[in-house]
Amino acid sequence: MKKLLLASILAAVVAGPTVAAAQDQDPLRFVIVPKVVHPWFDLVNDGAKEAAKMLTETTGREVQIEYRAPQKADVIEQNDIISRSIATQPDGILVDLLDGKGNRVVLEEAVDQGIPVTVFDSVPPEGMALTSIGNDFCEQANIASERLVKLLGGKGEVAIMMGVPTAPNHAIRAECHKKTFEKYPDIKLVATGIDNDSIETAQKQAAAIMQANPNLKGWVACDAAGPIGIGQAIKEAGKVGDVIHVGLDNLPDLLALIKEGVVDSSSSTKPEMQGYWAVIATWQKAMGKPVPKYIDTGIAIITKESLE
Amino acid sequence: MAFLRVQGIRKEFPGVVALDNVDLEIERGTVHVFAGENGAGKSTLIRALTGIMPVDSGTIHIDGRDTAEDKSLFDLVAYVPQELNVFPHMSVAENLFMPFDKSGFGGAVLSGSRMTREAQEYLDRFDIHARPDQAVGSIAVSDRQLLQIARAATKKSFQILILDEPTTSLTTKEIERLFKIIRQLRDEGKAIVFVSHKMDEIFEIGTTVTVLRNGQTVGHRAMDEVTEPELIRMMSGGEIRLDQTFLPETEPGEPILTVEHLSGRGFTDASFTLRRGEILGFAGLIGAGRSELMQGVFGYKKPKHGRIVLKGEELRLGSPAASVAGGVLYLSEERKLHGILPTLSVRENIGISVLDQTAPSGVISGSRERSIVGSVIDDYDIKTSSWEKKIMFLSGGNQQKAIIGRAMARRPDVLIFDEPTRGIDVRNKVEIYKIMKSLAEEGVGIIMISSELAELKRCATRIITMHDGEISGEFDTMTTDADTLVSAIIGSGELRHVV
Amino acid sequence: MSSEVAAETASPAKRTLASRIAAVPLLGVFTALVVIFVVSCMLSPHFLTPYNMTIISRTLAFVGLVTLGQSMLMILGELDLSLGAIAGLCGVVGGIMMVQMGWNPWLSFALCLALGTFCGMFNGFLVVALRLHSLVLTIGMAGVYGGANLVATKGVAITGIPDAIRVLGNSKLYGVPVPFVILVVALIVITFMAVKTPFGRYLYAIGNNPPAARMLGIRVDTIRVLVFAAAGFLSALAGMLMVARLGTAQPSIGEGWVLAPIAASVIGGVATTGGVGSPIGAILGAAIIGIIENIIVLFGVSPYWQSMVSGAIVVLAISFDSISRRYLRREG
Repeated sequence: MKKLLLASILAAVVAGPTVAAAQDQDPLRFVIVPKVVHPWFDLVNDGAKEAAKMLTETTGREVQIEYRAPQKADVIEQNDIISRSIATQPDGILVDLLDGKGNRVVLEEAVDQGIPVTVFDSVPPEGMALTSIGNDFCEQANIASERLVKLLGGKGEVAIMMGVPTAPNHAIRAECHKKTFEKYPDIKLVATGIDNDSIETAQKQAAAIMQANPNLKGWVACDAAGPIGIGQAIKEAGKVGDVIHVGLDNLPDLLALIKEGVVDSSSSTKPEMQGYWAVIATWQKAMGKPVPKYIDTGIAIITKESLE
Repeated sequence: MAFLRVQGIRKEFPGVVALDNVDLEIERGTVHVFAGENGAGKSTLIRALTGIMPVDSGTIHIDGRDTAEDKSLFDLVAYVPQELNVFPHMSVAENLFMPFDKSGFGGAVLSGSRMTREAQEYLDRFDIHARPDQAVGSIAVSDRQLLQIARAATKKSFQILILDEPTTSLTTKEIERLFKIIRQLRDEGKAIVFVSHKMDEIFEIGTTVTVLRNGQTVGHRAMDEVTEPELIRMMSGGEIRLDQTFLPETEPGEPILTVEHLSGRGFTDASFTLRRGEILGFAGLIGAGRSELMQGVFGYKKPKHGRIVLKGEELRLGSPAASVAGGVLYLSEERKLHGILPTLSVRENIGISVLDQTAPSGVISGSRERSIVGSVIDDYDIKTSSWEKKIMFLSGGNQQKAIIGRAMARRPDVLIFDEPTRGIDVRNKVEIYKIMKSLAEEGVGIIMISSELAELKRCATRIITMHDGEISGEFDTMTTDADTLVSAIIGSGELRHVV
Repeated sequence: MSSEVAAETASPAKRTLASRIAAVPLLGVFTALVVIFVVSCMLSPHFLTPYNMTIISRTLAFVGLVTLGQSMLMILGELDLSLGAIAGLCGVVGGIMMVQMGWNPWLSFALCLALGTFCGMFNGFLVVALRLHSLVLTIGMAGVYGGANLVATKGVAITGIPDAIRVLGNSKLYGVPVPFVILVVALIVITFMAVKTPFGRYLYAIGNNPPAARMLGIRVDTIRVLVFAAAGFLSALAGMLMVARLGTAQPSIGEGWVLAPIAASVIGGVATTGGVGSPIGAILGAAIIGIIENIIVLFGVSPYWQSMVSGAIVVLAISFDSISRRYLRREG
């Protein structure tokens, strides 16, 4: 199913020359509004730029990417950024929504003014027909927890580090981790920590949990900061190789820990892919082409080998 | 050549000549008095002598050398300003040696024990009743004043000490303490410059006097060659009678304010009655509880027990708002702390106390405010370039007039004047006495707190003395001699001739 | 002392045009606003569009209402760091009343304004009764109100605000966003109060010199409590309007309304020491901050540079006032 979708989009892109008649027109301006200033979104931006370059080369009409990030992960601030972006009359807006319902007002303003809106890494507000780009958060968690179970040989004590309990994508991941572990009778979930998306908190929590459960054999996490903190705690406790940790996402600190061998691997979304496909989808909409409702960019497993 | 020699200095501010061809010679081992009315140029001259303010022309020689060529000569001058200028939350020792580099405590690290040790020497020498580690805010005002003088003396190099009105907040006893120190410094060969309005002090401590008027020197005299009336004539340019009294000439009316067994912080069991049309004087040493009692009556500090009856009705204790509504006003001796609203304009400062007249409907009428403020400014001769000028830019005398003027504009029934003439020259003092007299004759009851017994005797119909927080006597001014009053002020039987 | 007296009597004739201009209040902040506005027009063709003016005025409305309250407190010599938390708490309580309890939206709206007034008044009461420094006390109270917000919501936004209320946040009156109209009305009322009523004079008197104000018979403590209450009311109003705008009661409402109103007041000439400045100046200051934040996004400044650039422009705006005055005085 997914492959079929991708194929159809590619077909649309290759069919580009039909619209390339508009060569002499102004460049197309797409604005990316992430949740907050964060390295993960820089990777999204990289992917978006790559797509823009590709589109510029194939269609002959320049596509520009503008990156405007809120300083704080706050819906009100993100709404301000989105509306200021609308004021510049771009040809498309790509948003990672902080809270679909709270963002709805400004998204409607964009739609009213005829600006194509694409949502990535998040779910569009109910009832709004917006294309969304992303991955299945549950699938991302399952890949990590299944890998941990396999590495442990199907038995042993494990723990989950939750992110921000109120963040929907963190909650989904924690729930799916739990369901995976429940499938295996010899895997015992002994502890759950909360790190609030902070490396420091994650480290403290992980250290305490390992103290309390000396037989703990494995860790999974639910946000990007958690796995780094857990990795540092494992290193500090001198339990490298003793405790196996499958992380999440691909922040540079985590990649370093994987290279070092402290963390086994990571189940990562593909930010570049999300940026890339979000631009493609927005471009199609701007050109008046049909656009799929949902594009799945898939999950990647990052290991020491894949990094070398 | 004199140790300090000033020749023909001139200083001009936009639109005015503050100093005009001023000459001066000050010798070591003498106390040199600067006399003159407010605005005569004393403060400007002092600022020139300390090197804070450059002069337009003329020369200042110290120790035979020209200060224009060597600014470091000003290091020989130590200056004690009139206003208390201490850091209340820092210790006595820290205050004493601030700034540290000038007092020999240079370097990055301060030695606390050395500072305490050296501070103790100064405290002993200047007879300051405080410990080196005590916070300055917790010591008596008079000790703070002496501390300021001690601080000037910590400047190791000083040869000339300038004291600007050092006695304003000191009692007779404390003034004696200060004079002892001044004489001691004089005998060590320092040159002392002493600025004061008080004739008795000038004659007691001065060796020579320079009189200034309108920015010019009108005369230099040896102190023993000049008489008091002569000096006052030189200062004012005309004659002011010193024996004139200002007792209200009308008979006192019915009681307007009755205080019964009032006790609070700093005063105990005080009872007295104020009548319409009289000036009731309150005498006592600083710290005897006069201001505390009156602030208690007014409600600024809440009394613990007792009863106050105002115009036949019991007054709510501890509420200045109720007192003001009942027609009682308090004019504090602390002009800066309790009087002016520094960043508001002259108009707003005066207008604030007549809002019930300018805004009867709840909205301020600009024209009504202008007419009332205008008449206050005219009646009290407040000198300001514009009504919209911030009051903090006015001189102390004009601020005082604005405060009195706005109180009068409220048409009070009872007025409490706390040291109304502190820091004010002879001419303006007389103005204030006249105002009090005419108010009393209009039927206002006036309470006057003063540390100058002579002043009370010239104005007050009755005098109540306070000692150690309690009322120690009540006297009819006409029939009581100074000795009786002084013994009541000082306390039981301890009769001394201080005045 | 002598020089001052003399200078006063002599100066009227010497007042030049430049020194007169220097004495005009708000001159600096107004000029800075005009300069920033004109520069913004030149920097981006999208700046002076109806839509952009709409979003600038609407953003200004929310932070402006809090700024009005904070500036009055600052003139009084106080500060309330919990105004943002009050706005957030009132917003979510309003959401709970309207959505979870199903109460009449207008009744809920009114009750929330009353709640905000009460929270502010409670702050004022504690400051007066415990003789605490308002800065310290309200840091604590911000925790209390912010915590109450989290207890009530568990950090989850309340959605489904009725359309009757949403209209307040999203509709326009003669092309002007309703929240901005409300701000202008509040500004007019408060400016009138500050300039033309005894209450306004008392505000400045207390901010200047609290002991002197007491000596004059002003009910200092009563006025303190009242102004804290007014600031609470205005913050609650801002919070509720933001709920109306978003259509959801976000627990994060008000988080950005703590420092900006203080900065805006200072830019607008309100002294942190009290007694100086005006609410209208504070609003001009808030407008400067709002335009800077807007043009930075419009012009496409990198998000990594935004804080630094806007901070630097704010410092520039503050110094513009004092430098221009000094220059004009020297001329005069």
